Amino acid sequence: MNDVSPQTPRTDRENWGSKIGVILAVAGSAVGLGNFLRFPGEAVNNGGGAFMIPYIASLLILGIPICWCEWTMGRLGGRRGVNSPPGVLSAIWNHPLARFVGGLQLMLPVVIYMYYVFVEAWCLYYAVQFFDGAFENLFGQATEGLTDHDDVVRNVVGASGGFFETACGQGENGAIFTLTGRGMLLCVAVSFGANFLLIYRGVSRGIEAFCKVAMPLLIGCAVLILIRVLTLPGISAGLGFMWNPDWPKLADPNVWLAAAGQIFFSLSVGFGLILTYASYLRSDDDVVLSGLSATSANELCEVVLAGLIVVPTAFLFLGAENAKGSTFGLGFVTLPSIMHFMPGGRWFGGLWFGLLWLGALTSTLSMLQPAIAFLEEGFGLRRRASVIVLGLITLAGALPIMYFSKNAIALDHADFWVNQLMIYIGATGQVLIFGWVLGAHRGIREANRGAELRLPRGYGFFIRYITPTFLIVVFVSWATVHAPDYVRGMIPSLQGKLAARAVYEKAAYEKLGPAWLDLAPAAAPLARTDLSDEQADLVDAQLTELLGPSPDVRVDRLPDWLRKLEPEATASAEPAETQAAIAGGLFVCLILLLAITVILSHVAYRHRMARIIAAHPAAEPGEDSP
Amino acid sequence: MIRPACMAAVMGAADGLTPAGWAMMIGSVGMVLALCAFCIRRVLREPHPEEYMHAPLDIDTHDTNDDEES
Repeated sequence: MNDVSPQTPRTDRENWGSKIGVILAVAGSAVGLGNFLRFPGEAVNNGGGAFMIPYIASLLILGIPICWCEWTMGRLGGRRGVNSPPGVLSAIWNHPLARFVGGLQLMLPVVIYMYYVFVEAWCLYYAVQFFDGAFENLFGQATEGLTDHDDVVRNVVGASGGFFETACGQGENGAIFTLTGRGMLLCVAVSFGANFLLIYRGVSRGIEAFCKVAMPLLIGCAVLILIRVLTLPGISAGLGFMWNPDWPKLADPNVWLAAAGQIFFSLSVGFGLILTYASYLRSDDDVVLSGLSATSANELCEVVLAGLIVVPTAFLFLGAENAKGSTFGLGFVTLPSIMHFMPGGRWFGGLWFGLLWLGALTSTLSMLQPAIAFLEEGFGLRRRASVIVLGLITLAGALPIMYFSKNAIALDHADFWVNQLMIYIGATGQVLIFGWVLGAHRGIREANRGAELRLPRGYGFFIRYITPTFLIVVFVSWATVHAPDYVRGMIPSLQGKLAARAVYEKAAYEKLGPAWLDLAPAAAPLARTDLSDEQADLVDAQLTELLGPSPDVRVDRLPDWLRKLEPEATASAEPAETQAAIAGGLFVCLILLLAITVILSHVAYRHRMARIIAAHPAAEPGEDSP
Repeated sequence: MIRPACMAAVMGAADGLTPAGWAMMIGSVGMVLALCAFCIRRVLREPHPEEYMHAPLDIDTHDTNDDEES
């Protein structure tokens, strides 16, 4: 089946070694930050066990089918002599829309790299700080003299949160560029430099060989922890916190969006990576079993290891409040806090974050290859020149994301627009090209060429109808439910008014809330997030009556006790306006970058790619030449 | 590894796994383990999988030596 030259017969041991090597390589490639940091937070915040229904639906309807379609189209494009997403898609469909989808898939990994490398640097910084004993000292000082467990937990989590805010620049824009942020800046430089040095020297396969050992080590560590966690007394409570389903959440489109976004992010589908790497395969290399094996290894890390360890452990050690945090909160505040309660936490924490850094490094390395391939084949640059050009572009994009770090505003917005808008458009375009332009039958025939596992029956129907419909339904839900909030979040004047109004609302609720809710006058008002729906509606109605329906509060109509808060309200409006301006600016930059990438894709196609594709004629009737 | 005070605090804080929670956990974990076992079995059954199965970073991009190209 394969055109492999005759070889010396191997011993059984060599043969088994090479098989295990394949499994380790696939497992090594699968591990990333999305598994251990992103998935648990998404699951616990989106319905616990109920989240697994949209998650598994997304895996079966989007993840696996799109993965196969990317591997197949990539290998097909490679036969036509092109490797970048615009080249591969243009080889299949000579149409400007193919350049648009290809340009989008070229841009996405570059933008993801720009912020992912920052999070990668956090992992390195945390690893160094753990090994250095900084966390041990920090938690030791925070809990000195305390005996009550609740106080200890509160102080440890507080200290960990404070560390995260300071070290990762969450408290102030530009913090990592100050003297106190120089350690983090150094880690950013090391991470950035390591990526480009490895890809410049062409040793990404070398790092992969290292990861064949290191990543299974990370998985082995996680398995050991899992065994320990599952044998802890009371673990049922922690597992219940993670896995008990909150069924009403299934009616919330955001939950379905979050599940689909998680699948795209952790499987690296929908943004051109696999398209590029598969283009370097030989025409009869397997793509079906390779794709499925990579997916299953990823799911093992994500669902079995991260799903059973992170949140249940956080719940056991730190309680419900701390186990239900954001992705970054769980990964960089809760997990370091847990290490304090573990024997050898200093070394274990260092090892954990060090291996996570390595996992992140393998992910970011692969994000660079599509753009390098594009510069090489589209503009005739050598690899060295391509790496330098790409290094300058990604540095220019990463610096503002690192600078505007307060509340991770730039990172959060970049992640949102990339993961919840652009990947959908890119993946939808790719699936439509596979199912309707290349044609499902021809696509399946191409996928099955040299396949050790043939595509299941019904895949053609799935990729033509079910997958695009699911993508479009999820996308339309997103556009109607989620997008308006993010669009409003980019309007500085509106955000300023809302921030000012929040000051008045807080004061009004604290003073009048107990009366509105018929509580005893001396009773402390409930937190607004703890109110029932009826109570929240009642409070909203009272606040609207007091402050007016518009976000813009008419100060002259307020009672004196509220009017005197005007300076405080004005002061809170300014940072909100700045944050909104940053978010809006970032969105405009992303759109501009997309436009530039699509134009460049078109130019590159006319300039060189069309000739390359023409020089590699279709291998079988029906493979159209442009 | 974990102090009794902590456990006491935790034990009162949640009810543990409900039947639906058990079902979701076992179903999800079981499905993933079955998928992994299927893939590993298929890989181990192949005579020389290293010759035609690849993980992304394991793939040679053939463009890493500028000198050779020239």
